Amino acid sequence: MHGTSEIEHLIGRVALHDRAAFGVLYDATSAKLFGICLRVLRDRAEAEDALQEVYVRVWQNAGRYSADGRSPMSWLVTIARNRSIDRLRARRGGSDGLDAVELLPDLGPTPEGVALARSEAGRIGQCLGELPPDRAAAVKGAYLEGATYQELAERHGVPLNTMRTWLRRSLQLLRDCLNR
Amino acid sequence: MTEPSDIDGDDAVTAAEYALRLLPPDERAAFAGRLAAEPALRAAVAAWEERFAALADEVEPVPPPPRLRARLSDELFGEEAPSGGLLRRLAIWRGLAFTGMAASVAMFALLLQDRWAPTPEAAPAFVADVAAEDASLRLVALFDAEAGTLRLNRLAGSVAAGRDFELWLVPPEQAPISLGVLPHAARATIRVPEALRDLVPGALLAVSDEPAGGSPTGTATGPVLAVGQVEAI
Repeated sequence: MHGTSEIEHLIGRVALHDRAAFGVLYDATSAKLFGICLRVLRDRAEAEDALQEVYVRVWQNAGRYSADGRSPMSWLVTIARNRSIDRLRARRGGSDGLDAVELLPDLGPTPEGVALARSEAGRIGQCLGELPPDRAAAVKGAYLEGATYQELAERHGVPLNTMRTWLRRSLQLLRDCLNR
Repeated sequence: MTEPSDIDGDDAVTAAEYALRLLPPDERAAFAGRLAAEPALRAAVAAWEERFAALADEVEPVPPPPRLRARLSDELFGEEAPSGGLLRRLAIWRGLAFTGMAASVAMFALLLQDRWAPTPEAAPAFVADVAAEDASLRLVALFDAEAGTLRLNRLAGSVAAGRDFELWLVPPEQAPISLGVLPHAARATIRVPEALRDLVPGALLAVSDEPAGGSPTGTATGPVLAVGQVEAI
């Protein structure tokens, strides 16, 4: 596996339309991102189409990474996860056509911010561990499977509104833990 | 990317719902509208995306089928190719095997399988990773020896108000030669004067902090913030 610094270097070159770097980036990261597409979509052909869209976006939007200050792998993971969810929702006919990736903030990176983000990201597992197991599972289900409130409510056998109250409360606790 | 400190608790939770794609369509559209106008909200969403991305650590990598790589290169670069099929693929990923990055075994298997190989006529290209030791400033530079252009992408760090970054070419055993003040945009292309082009491969690139407009003396007056070696791709 390539290190964070190498991935960042490759994305930096891709932003300058360096095709060789794009090939190396693809070879270094596509298995991870394909795993994510498969996890969300649970369909090989769809995951392949999603992965292709992901790398088209990476090629076109690599320049956005530079102004962003997040870790390079989580940037890629977010694109893969969000593209997969878009496809999942489109399959179910509920796409809203909005893409969070298009709305990434244009904030100047600070070294402190980057370092904090990288150490902080690892803490989510620990903070989820502080939640009751079914609530942690709901958060994970929303992220890794693209579950909607309706699906989570059915899965956990509670009314929709209860589910939302429940999950918002869990996200609040998660935030308190992460900000601690 | 940490959550901005001035964000309302309720908004912070809605930002998480937004990042998770949980919001009902009408609320999502309303929140997206606010995002356009509120940088703190965008930062909150980005902070959540960063945090949630760690949940993907548990996802096992699955190598995608090799044909996907070919399909992708066809989609992105196909129309620029001189002709179809194998020749096109050769051109598309040219230089791949020359890259300084270690190519994985899987990649070599792929190269063999698709009979991809670097083309000998590929333009001589060089790369430098110009970075500060503490990563507070980082630029990637690509040098095209034929065109004499240096393409720059600043990944981290920004210049202080009223100051400029100046780029220096430092050939082995020679004094630094100024390549000029760096444009403030993250990405920029600089033309290297013809007389200096042969000196670029193997030289160091360095960035110093200078008064606005660059060093008044012709040598670096401020601290050298980042250095990197120019290497063949």
